[in-house]
Amino acid sequence: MLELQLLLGGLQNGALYALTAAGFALIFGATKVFHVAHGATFTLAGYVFIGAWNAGWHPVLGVLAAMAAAVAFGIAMERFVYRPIGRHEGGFFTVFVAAFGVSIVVQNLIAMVAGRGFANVDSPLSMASEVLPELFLAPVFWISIVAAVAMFLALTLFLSRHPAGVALRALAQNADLLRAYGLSSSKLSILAFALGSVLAAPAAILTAMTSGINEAVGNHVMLISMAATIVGGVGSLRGAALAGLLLGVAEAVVLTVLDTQWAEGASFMVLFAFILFRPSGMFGAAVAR
Amino acid sequence: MTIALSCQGLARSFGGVQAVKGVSLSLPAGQVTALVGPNGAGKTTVFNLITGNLRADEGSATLHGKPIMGLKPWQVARAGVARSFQDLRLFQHMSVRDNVLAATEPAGWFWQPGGASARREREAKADAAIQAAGLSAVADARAVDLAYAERKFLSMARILAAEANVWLLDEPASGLDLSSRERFQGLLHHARAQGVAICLIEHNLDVVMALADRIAFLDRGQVLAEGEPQAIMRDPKLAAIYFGDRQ
Repeated sequence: MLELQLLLGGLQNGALYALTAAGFALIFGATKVFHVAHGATFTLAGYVFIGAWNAGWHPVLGVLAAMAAAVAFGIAMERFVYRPIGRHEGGFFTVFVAAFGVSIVVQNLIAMVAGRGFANVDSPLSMASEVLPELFLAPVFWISIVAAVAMFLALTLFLSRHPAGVALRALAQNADLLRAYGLSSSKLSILAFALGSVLAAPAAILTAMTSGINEAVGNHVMLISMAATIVGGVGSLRGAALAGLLLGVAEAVVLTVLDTQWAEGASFMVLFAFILFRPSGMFGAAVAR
Repeated sequence: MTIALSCQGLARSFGGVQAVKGVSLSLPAGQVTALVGPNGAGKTTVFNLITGNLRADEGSATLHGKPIMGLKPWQVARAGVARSFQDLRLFQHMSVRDNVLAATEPAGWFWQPGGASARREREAKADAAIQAAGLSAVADARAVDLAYAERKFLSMARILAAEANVWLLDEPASGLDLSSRERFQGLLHHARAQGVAICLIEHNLDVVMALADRIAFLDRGQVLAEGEPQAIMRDPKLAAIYFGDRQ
């Protein structure tokens, strides 16, 4: 039963990784910006929710505040960091270093304001109860699964049905052609950052409600998001989400046979395996063509 | 005769090479103007300058009297100038319908102007363009899975859906078989009758002679001659340049 317990825990983590990775993949796919500060979005959203909770706000307001903070941070990165770099034709490394620098600033600012170490939210939703003999699940488990599925379905629906979603997919495929269509790629980039960033918020909130977060959690989240994007196949949202789920479960499986410090290593074993044997990722063929 | 698009003294050099030297061109509404000349004459560069894909060193361009020089490509497109590309650019992994729908997308934002009725109108417009281009049977297929001629017609369908009144077409009939070419010519005849100003870069002289009302002959970045197709094509000096027999 311990194995099942760990597996379900992995499934919960995987669902949250899936959301964060889908956000990263959406931003990268549409704008080709390697948004390393996506992890900082996660951390910021988590701490805003914790702050709102501690201040006695209604949880719904806390969720909205976390989402707003995530969107504002994502848009600010696009407008004030990536766009000026793009205007000066800065390359990949300029973007990477700038985003990494901002992540460190965010991490330190959070440590200064909220203090170092783990912070979490004590909610009745985090209290596990025995659902089967020796199998304990908290309501937050089901919330994580439902939130991940619902948000992913909403995103898929938006991208396939909404005119702006169609335009975002078009941006991902050929930005030059999109401009010939009369659409502003800069406006759509903002939309991509807003949507991608908002996906990190529920994951951050639910993580704060279960294992808790610290000011450096963004680094782990970022690594997982990058790994999931590559394992899923660059450009594929469905791939990134499935890979996020897979990485969460892989971490849990490793826990059943090895020590906890190997958990993160499991993600990278999966990543290396894909790089060696299927470099285009799970759904990468569609991108390579 | 209403002039839809006019450009004066367009010039652009790349390093030491002057690709376009003082090109002036007027595109009348309801007429097809063919831009003809040997490879490297600067024809595509002229399109790139008009559409804002390249910045002109000198010169001006107006669309229905309003200046468009210095606008961004998407602003020129939105002002009513649609273009096709020589290398047949499409959103390869999107369906035919989505390729065309993207051309009718007005805002690029969550809140679309006009609400649901405007959206239905846009979808109807896209469907009409797909039908006019003869692609209804493959409307749900991905662009990458289409045959070459169908892809050519897809690029025409998105221009139809954009409802632009100036079309700049870069070798739109290249690689088409005879029946596809006739279909394509039918599309252009129809657009011309609707008052669209069309500028065509085309190497197939049969297509040029069948469609063009006027020809502008370009060589080494300059307009050497401009006039009726028969007169231009009968000029032995221009024929020699075109066929590479220049002295």
